[in-house]
Amino acid sequence: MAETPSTRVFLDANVIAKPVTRTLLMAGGPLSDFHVTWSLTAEQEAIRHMRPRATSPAVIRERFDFMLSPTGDVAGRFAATSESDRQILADTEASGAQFLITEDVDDFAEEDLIALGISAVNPDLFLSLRLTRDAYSSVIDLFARGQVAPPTTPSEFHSAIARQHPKLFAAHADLYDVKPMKSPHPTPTVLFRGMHPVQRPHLGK
Amino acid sequence: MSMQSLTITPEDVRAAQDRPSTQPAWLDQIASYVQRAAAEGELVTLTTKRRMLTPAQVADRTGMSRSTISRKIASGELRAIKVGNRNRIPYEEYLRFWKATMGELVEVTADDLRADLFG
Repeated sequence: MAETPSTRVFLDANVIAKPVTRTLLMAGGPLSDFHVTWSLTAEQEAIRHMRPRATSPAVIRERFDFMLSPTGDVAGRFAATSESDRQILADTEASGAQFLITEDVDDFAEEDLIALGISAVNPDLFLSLRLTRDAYSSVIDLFARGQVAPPTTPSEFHSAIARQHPKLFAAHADLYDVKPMKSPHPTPTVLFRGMHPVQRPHLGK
Repeated sequence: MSMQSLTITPEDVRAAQDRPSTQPAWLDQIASYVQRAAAEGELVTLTTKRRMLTPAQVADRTGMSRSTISRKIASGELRAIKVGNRNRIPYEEYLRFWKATMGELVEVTADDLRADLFG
């Protein structure tokens, strides 16, 4: 019997630029039956918005031999979406992804997303619904093993992840006996647009 | 019977474990499959098999190129077994390889992760 293809998700620049969000998606995806990709446009925009001394996603990609997704054709398309976001939409389509993971879901017009059969989803919502408990726990353990100066425990990471990902923390709140750190950011008002539901479909056939 | 087989993956089972208060979807699928078969007087045999991926499937799931995966197989970094003259990667080996790769990535970006989380 054929192996069902894993779900492909495209990362917008504002997600690539955030090391924790990017790593949760990259590392946890293949353990949860989805995998991430991004394009040159998204990568270059992310680099412009990152902290000055942060490791460039281009360096990470080249070091680990990850491929860029193709650049999409934007000419004369996606009139309902603002011009600055149209290339990301075209690149998402060209990558074959079902989901565009972005902090700014409301930047992408619903009619353009529906026409492409793509859903734009907030990263915290996506992770809370698609990252399995095993995968989340594995990534937290990787974080703790990689953090030696100063040492940080998995429960400390779990608590700190709540600052950026309160829904993800809530989905696995009982994994460690620890309270969530408060998020300094207001919750975006639009978390989802499109047709594909975020929750994992049944794969049996 | 129109549906000849039903495949349940470890991900189906694990995803259901995350929501223990609800009836697992995979159990519903099996029940429905068995009931339909019984209605048509058919036998149902449950079997398991070792899950294998092709190099192309590993490339797709990791975001690496086919040639990178072939190189990693050749170097022994990713262990494959021969089925006929083709390489197949046991699923558990794929998971081991991915966790090792991501462990290295987390080490490389440890300062970025700390600054992003605690900075």
